[in-house]
Amino acid sequence: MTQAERPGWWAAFWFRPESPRNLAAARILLAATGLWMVLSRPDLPSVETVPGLWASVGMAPRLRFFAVFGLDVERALYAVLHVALALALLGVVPRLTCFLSGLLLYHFGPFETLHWTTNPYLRGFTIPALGLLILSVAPCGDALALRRGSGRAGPAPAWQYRWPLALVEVLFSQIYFFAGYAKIVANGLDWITAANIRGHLLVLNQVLTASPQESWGYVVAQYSLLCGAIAWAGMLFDLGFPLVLVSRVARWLFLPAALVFHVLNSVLFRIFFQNVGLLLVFVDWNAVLRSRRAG
Amino acid sequence: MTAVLRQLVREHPWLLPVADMARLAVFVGFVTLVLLVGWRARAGWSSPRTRGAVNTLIVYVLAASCATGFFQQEAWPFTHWALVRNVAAKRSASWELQGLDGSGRSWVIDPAVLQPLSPDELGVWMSKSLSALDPASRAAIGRFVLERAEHARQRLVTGRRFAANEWLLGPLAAPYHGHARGAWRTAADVPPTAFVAVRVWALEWNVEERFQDEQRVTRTLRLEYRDRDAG
Repeated sequence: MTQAERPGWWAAFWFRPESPRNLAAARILLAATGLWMVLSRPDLPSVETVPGLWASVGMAPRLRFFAVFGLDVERALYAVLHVALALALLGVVPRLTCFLSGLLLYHFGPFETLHWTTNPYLRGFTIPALGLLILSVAPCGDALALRRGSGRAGPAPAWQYRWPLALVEVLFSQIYFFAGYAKIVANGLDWITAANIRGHLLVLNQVLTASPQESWGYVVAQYSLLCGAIAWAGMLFDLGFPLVLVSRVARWLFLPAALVFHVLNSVLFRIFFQNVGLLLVFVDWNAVLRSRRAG
Repeated sequence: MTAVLRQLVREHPWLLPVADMARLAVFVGFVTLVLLVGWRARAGWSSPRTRGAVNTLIVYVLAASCATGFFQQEAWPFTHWALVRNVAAKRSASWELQGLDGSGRSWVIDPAVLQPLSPDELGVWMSKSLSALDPASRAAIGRFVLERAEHARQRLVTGRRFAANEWLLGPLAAPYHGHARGAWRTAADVPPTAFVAVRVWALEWNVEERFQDEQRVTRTLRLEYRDRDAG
């Protein structure tokens, strides 16, 4: 291949051949995460019935999310969302069901928060909504779909399987990167101190646990060196995570680290990340399935 | 940037709905480009026009997600991901629900009775809105909390799940982002007879002082509602 024929970095990143299985795995993971969230909030439309709560929401936020229907219509739409997500997961009419799922996740995502913020970014709907809409125009049902038979590899690797997967991966990586960036922009280096981590450990356990003095957060808060290490490790992890987009070695380092990061966040800070399962979009499922079959 | 925009909105409140519509336009633009890719792909993925539409979508998503991230503004589902952005506060606040049984004994009410609303979400609204409401609206909220608490109590004493989020998946249901440990686990955590009144308490404390002594919390009664039928 000559220099002129070699694809530029843009094409090499977005349009290199990708296995249809990996894109299909992303479809399954996004739909499964969305389905898990809606099954975990089975009565979400009922927030409309809390006295005074829904009435305090202005017309502009309602229009923005099309939250203008009555309870019966919302419950019917919520049922449609469940069905659409289940079908998207199975790969039945995948483009239509992914599109419908994405639109309805956008509609219902802010229901928990609309009475005080239009930014429900920590409620588990964000990446599934964006991801499923992106996948809705991609050939995401060419493998691992019910109609094609589970486990079949599908067509040969091609660029049309790469760009939607890469876009979902970029959006997911931004979660960590901008979480780190936001802390630096708001507070400079003041955020990366033992005292700050100690403060967060104390506050979050005081707010979220019935007996904070029995929490692991309180135990760790007593060790300044440990708090300082958590601050720096967390910041380096956040800002470094996008390396997984371009480096296989970084995936081996950052993906297990992400799991540890979220377990510690949950145990020490009582912060749970509902999209943790989406870390699996970075796994080369084609290689995994191929090696299992060969083994 | 964020401070400047906040100041601007404070001075010109009409900008808020305009901002909401602008954010809707960002989402509509995204969906439109998604549909454009779908339309062009009908001619085949090998078509240069399809590739062009894909490139446009990629650039748009990158622009929208990076703009919201770097400028720390939201256009959800494009967002700033500012998780635990601020330095820890010296003082903190929360709230607590309390129920009274017929004998006048008080019981802590598990905030899970109010699901699908999370305690955080409802707490923000209550601290902002409760004191500004007229007596009838306050009574409506009190009645709502009492009914939810009593319904949940009845479910718990009969061995059923009381938290709405666990109706289908049980303990496998996705927790909230800030996941609190529930106050109710067994029937012993609730009275055997009905709740007849509820109270909403605002809690406030100095973080280090409470670390030294768990009891150093200031409690202020924000709402009390008694069921008239219960006498």
